[in-house]
Amino acid sequence: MNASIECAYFLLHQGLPFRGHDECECSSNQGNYLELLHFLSRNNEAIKRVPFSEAPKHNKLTSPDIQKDITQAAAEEITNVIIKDLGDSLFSILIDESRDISIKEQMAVVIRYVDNNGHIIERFLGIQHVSDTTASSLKAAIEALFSKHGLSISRLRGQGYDGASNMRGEFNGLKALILNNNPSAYYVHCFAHRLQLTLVAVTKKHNEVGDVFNFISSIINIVGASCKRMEVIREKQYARIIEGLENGEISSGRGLNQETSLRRYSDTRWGSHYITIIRLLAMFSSVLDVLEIIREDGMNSEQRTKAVILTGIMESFNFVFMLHCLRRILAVTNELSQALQIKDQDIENAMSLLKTSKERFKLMREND
Amino acid sequence: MSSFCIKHDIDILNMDDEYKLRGRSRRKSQGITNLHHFRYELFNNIIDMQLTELDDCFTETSMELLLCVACLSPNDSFSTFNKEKLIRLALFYPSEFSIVDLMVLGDQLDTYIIDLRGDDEFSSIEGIASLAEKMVKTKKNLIFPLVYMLIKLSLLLPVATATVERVFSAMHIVKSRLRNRMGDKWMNDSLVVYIEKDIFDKIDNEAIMKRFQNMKTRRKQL
Repeated sequence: MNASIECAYFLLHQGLPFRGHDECECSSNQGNYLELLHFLSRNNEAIKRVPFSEAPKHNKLTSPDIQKDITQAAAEEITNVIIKDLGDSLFSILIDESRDISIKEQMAVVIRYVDNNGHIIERFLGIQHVSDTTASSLKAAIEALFSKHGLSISRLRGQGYDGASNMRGEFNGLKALILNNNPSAYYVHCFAHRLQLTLVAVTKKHNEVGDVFNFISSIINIVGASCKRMEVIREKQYARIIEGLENGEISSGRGLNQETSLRRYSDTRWGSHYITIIRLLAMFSSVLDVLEIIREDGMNSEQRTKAVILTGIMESFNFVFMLHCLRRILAVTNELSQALQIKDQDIENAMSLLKTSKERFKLMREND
Repeated sequence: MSSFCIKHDIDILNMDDEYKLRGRSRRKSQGITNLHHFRYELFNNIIDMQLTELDDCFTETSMELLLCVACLSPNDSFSTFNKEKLIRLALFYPSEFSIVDLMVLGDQLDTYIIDLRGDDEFSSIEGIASLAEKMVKTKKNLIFPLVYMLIKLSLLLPVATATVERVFSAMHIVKSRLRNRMGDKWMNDSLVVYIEKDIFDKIDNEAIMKRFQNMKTRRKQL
């Protein structure tokens, strides 16, 4: 039994699957769990003494149901520890939804509380399948989860969600529904989401910035269109790094000079605009080279024209200026965003960070 | 910036030349220099825009509740301390602070600020999170239970849903493309264990075994 738990422990710890495709005795790979159990029994004297073949057929403790039961026992123990740690004190919840790989809507609930030592703790409570994302069904799911763990909404003192309307709606949002039950559960709109919103708003509203990002997006499209072109870009970049290393221009070290690729930006991914620009600046000349190759032997005239236009844009002073200027601005917001994502960030600190960022913008404006 | 241009053979515009707008005839040009265009019209414009967007999106910084929270800050030896505002903060939480408590809180705040301002240990603290830790360490949370309650409540206010987003990235590891038929319960259990590894490490097998045994009657007792 100990061995079974050890196996389950290892697999759960690494987030590996338990079961294989074919689990009969003659299969070459019986799935991670069984294989690990066999491995353990081969290498451990105590377990070796009770080989599987001798165990009665109905009591091997290896069936899928047993595996699930072991996991459930472990999960319940953990939640138990969390609930015990929380005790009678007050807490707040953080909720978000997303869909998983089999296109089911999942809602994750994290609780945030202050423990006896005065530390802020954020713990994962559970994930719940919801059939739709209306506020009332979300609330029902939360109530189910709370009653399962013996928590009560009356002890709630804060709620944090992203800005989706089903969450924060003034009259029928989840926020309002919970506030009806408990007027002290103040709602705070996730700071990191809001920061991203500001960036997106700037990229959408400001003409020139919007242009730059659209150009970047078409550069990435045309350069990253095929594996062949990506291969060329990798080779160029590799050659350039080697050259730089030999000249002593670039320092080497662990994690430095790794293979990089151009990254697409996305409105919902925090910090992606900044990475896009940094990557483009780092691979600027490689990208230019690839564009030239496309211009010379592109598949059709349409692509060749595109390459010519993009090269012209990339070499213009305007574009380069905008890249650098955006890089400096985004560097500030990126730092802020990273700081906001720290696990035990508190709201007072977040506000002062925000203030510092604003000051930095003002300084940048005055100085250069 | 200019070194970058030289490295990649890009013409640097002379900053004092007249700025030419593409696609517009020369006669209509407004007679501004490049410097003016890039520095004022582009750079400052973007910064201004970013600033206004920040202001628009973070309107809560002027929200009363958060303004009151800011008064708890221990930075610069409690320079933002404001008794009226802190009492107003307590009014936001009627279930924790009764009318009697509010009166006691007023007195407690007076002693609290004198005591902590005089204490060297508290003079260099930054942020209310470390303030709370320090108070527990020096057992001041027992002397000023109501003030500590205020600090605790303000710590509870969530900042970012980053932890939840982390849960989703863990979900993508556990429930991957090859494991897309996991049941909800099975996935929930795996995720709890996967995310809260540090607690899992502390639990010994005996406890899990006992729970496993109690879940239903097994054929054999372990």
